[in-house]
Amino acid sequence: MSVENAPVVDVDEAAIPVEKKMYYRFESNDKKEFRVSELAIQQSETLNRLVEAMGYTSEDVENKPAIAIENIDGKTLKLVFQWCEHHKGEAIPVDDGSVPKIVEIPEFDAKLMDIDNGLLFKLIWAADYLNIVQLLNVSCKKVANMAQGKTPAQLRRVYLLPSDEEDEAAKRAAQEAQDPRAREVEEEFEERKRQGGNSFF
Amino acid sequence: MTAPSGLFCGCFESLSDWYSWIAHWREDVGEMKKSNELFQPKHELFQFKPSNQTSVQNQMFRTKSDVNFRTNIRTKPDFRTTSVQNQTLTTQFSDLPDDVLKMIIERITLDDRPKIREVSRRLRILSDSLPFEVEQVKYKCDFEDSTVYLGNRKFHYEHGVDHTQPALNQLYLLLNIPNLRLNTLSIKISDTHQSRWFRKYTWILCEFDCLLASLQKQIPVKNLSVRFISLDLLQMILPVLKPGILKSITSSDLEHDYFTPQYYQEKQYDIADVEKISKLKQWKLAKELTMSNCLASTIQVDTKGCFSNFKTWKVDAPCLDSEFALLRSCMKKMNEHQVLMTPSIACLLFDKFCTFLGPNTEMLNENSAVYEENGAIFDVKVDREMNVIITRRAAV
Repeated sequence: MSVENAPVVDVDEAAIPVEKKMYYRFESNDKKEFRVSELAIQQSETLNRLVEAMGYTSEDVENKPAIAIENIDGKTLKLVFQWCEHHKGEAIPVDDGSVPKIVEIPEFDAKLMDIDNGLLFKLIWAADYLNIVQLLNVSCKKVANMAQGKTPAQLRRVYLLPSDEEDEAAKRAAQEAQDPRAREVEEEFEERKRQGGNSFF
Repeated sequence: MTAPSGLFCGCFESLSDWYSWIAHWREDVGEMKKSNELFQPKHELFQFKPSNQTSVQNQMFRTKSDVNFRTNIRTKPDFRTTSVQNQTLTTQFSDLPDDVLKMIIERITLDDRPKIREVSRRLRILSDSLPFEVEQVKYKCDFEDSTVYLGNRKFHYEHGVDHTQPALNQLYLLLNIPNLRLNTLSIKISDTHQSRWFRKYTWILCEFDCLLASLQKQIPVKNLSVRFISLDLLQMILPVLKPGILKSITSSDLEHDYFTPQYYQEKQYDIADVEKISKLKQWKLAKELTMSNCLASTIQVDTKGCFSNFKTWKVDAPCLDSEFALLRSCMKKMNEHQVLMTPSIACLLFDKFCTFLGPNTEMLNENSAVYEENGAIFDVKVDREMNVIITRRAAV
């Protein structure tokens, strides 16, 4: 799909600029284009630094190709920019070093993150990649809340994680796939050990 | 492929659950095999080489002129970019980088945090690398029951089987949490005249000593509170606390209700124990000492000059003549940098307190007085919370 034919997704229809504001264009890896206000971009340290370095004028923003964010798909990027537009102008929180972190999830964020786990993890991954501190903060809290009152076995199911034993088995399987001779050598070594040989060679 | 060993462990409610799980697991292992990065965070796989298109990756830290130059020229797309673009990103929990997983663990409540360690090896390593800050760990052992608190979480063991052993085991588990940081550690072991309980608490003390010895680490604790009949417990606990972190020590006997006044008169502390404690680094570096129900021991300790490090020294409010005599004895040994406090004189008006303090007390106004003895002058004040604060004036 060419860039010209790519669907243009306006993140926030109500936020169409009345006064002259700069709207940057970004493109996801599945060629969806997004228009995001300058103020909303400030929530992402990565994007903010990028647009500052590029030094685009209002004409550049319209005429030049959209900035590609190649690691993130359109569905995830839409959520990211929706969040940025809603929280534009808000101060970026600073880590106070306390553990456990006390985080409250605002109503808007809770609704935005009412999605399946796969998409939620993509959103977290994107927030980390684009360095959006507060989005990362609330989305991590959402995942942390999943652990509430669950047993380790239940947590493994929620997070789709193998147990230590299964992990070991997977590791062995991977090693065997890499070097099938290794197991034979190990068995031969054990056999010789049983026979009382001092040295393998 | 080797089947995972947890199949019949009751982890899955239905076969379809199991099938969906195994599908994910196979996919994971397959990817790990292909990538040859079994325990690397998989998001790295998506960080492909920069293309010629303007992108976040290839333009992030370049100069302005460089960026403009690059954005103006668009050549045909890189095949590596295309291949990744066509790829469906299947992000799972295990795909998240370590930094993000740490952020998630930091946001898990204290109740659920220990369970995270049991989920997988990676989560255990990450969890252990993070501090575990708890407001308080409290251990309370009575004849009838034992209770262990972790923050607001309560582990209660009642009389029946043997409440002391499981409670001590629980305490050991909590104190053994890696990177544990405590605001307050509170230990209270009751004491009564019952002979059965006397035997029992002697045994508890031995077990407690073994527990502390097996910790093999020093825990950062800001405030320590110990309630026991003797100083043995304090002597045991102080060495397992990190010196310099400990700011406040509270050592108290049990409530007056349990004992007759005669009991206190008969009770004597072993001065050798006091000396041993005062030589510990944890004691020397602490700044505040509160000693309740044991003024007599306080005086004994002070005769050895073991209190000079404490800025604030809190003692019980004296009521009896003998207790005022002990208080005066304490004041004599104070230096100019120390503050002596008696927590509350609600039962005694300030002017009466000053009268009991001695004939050399001169009332300045209703809230302050001056006490003089052997050339040393003390300012005696009462604050709004009815605490009496005594300071020694510097010698001219």
